[in-house]
Amino acid sequence: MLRTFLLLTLFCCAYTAEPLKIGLICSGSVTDGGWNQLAKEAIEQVKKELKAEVSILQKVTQDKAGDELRAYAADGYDLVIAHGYEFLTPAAEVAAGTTMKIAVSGADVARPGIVTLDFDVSQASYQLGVIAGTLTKSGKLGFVGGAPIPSVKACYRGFLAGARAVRPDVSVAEAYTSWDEPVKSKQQTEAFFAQGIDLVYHDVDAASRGVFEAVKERNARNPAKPVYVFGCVADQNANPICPDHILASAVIRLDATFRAVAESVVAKTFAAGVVRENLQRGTCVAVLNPRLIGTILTPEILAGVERAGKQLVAGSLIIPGE
Amino acid sequence: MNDALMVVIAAQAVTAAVPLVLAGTGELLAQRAGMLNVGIEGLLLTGCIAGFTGAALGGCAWIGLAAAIIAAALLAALFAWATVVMRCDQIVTGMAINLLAVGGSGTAWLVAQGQGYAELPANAGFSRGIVPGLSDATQAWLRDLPFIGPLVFDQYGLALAMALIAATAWWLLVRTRIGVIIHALGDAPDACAANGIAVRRWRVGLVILAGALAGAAGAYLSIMRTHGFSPLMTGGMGFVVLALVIFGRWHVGGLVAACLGFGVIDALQSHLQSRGLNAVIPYQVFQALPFIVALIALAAMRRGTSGPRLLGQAWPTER
Repeated sequence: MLRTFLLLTLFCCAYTAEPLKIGLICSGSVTDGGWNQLAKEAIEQVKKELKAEVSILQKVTQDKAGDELRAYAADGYDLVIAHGYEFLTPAAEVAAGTTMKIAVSGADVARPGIVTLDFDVSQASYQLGVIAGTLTKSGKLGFVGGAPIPSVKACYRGFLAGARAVRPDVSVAEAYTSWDEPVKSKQQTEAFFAQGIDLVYHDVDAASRGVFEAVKERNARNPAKPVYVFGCVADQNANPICPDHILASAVIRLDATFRAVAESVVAKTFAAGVVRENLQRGTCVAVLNPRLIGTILTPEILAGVERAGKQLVAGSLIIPGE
Repeated sequence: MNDALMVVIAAQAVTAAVPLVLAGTGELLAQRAGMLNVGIEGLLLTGCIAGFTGAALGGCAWIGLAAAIIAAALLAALFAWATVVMRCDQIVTGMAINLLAVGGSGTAWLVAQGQGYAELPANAGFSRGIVPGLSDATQAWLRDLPFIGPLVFDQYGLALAMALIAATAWWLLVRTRIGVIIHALGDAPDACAANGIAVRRWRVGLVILAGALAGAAGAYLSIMRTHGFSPLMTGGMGFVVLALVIFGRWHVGGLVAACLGFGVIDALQSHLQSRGLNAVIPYQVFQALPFIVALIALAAMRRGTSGPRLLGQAWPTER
């Protein structure tokens, strides 16, 4: 009797393998239409495909990240993705004392025990810059970022290089407001327009609403001199605020990256190091707004974007560093 | 002329000052009566989410504005009950109101996500233009007036309400018996009571009025300025209001001047950033600029006795 019971227990254990438990720590709200929302959608995709158990924490600050990671470790999570550059240091500290696997998004430096996921959007930004340099009337472009962290600065450098490649006299005004405060980003974008800037690229999260709102208002006021904007991180081309004035978005294909990390945990091949996602791998790409192809986005512009893309992939074109 | 940098900055300053003056006027009236509510940030945030929810579900900006005013007034009523009736510490209660609003607005936002009304329906927000209902041609004529066009008419609807409310508050405080009573409530509540004035009822009323005004300021941010909600979108504005009330020495004129001054420096930092000064000075300096100026000005100002004498104290003092 006892033997049958033990056998049954063993049998059950073998066949009801524990599902993979994944935690996601976000720096902002998962409804920001950008960086954090993208992560939530990607992790839900992974949850579906790998039948994993998933937990998401929102608006986690840098000082809280260590505690949250330790709490996940204590709860027996297999993998936690800390979705933001600011989590790198706390993640590296926690990783030293746990068997839980930790990945940090948006960082391009290696730390012992953790995987860092580097998303190089600078090449896609270069392609957006090519569009901007061709279309700008005033020769003045604007860039608004959440904070001047390396990944955001890379977007700015790529955008500037792309625009200068087609029109050497272009200037790109650079301003940093906040990731999640649309009131501030709107005021900043209005300031851009006041100085004659007619194309704006952003790398903010929930604050993108403010940028789009400023574009919408400006165009309603002054339809003769339209202003345009680019989306970032997520495909924001269909954003309901100003869908006819978003030329293109620099998009990260985050679901592929997250799935690969989760699978490496299942297969026990998780190894510390930097995973580099970029244009070559097809994970950080420029997506043009299909509504504007053929009208504002002329065949010549499309050809220019494609040519730049080929050169960037081939390595004959390199985005200048700092 | 209206494209001149000075005019653009001045117009942006007015836009930025509207919620500050609205919430600040209410807080000033309450503080004059001895009620120190540090929960303005929470009231603003409540106004933001209630305004958004009302406009999104009701399909009309006016419903949103009403919802924002009512929700924030109710939260202020809770503060009034706790501090005036239950005699809780005003600062502690105010901070609790802030925390409550952060959690409450976040939860309401999650519900909005789940129920699928995370975006305002078309035309469910107020668009730019100061007087609702005017024809497009009239609006365009008004805002093209030199100088006063952008400053006065190319604003959001509540800018007009702000001017009316601030003027009314000034008139009430300086010219009427009600003003004398409000001053006395904060300086000598015992004397008020001796004259048959219901001190606690007045204080509750003023706190609720302040809540309603903060709610309107919150609605300004969500359904007028940005046409949407994002968590913690007030970004500490409530604490700025608190500082500006003190900075304005508890006078309506001082408050309005302080808010406009803050708005000018805030707009100026946007323009300085985009004109390449980032390369020389770290951008955080620009972001902190309005706060640095406010701090220096506060420290440099002579310490006056113009404030309410018994601010933040429960009445009656002994029970």
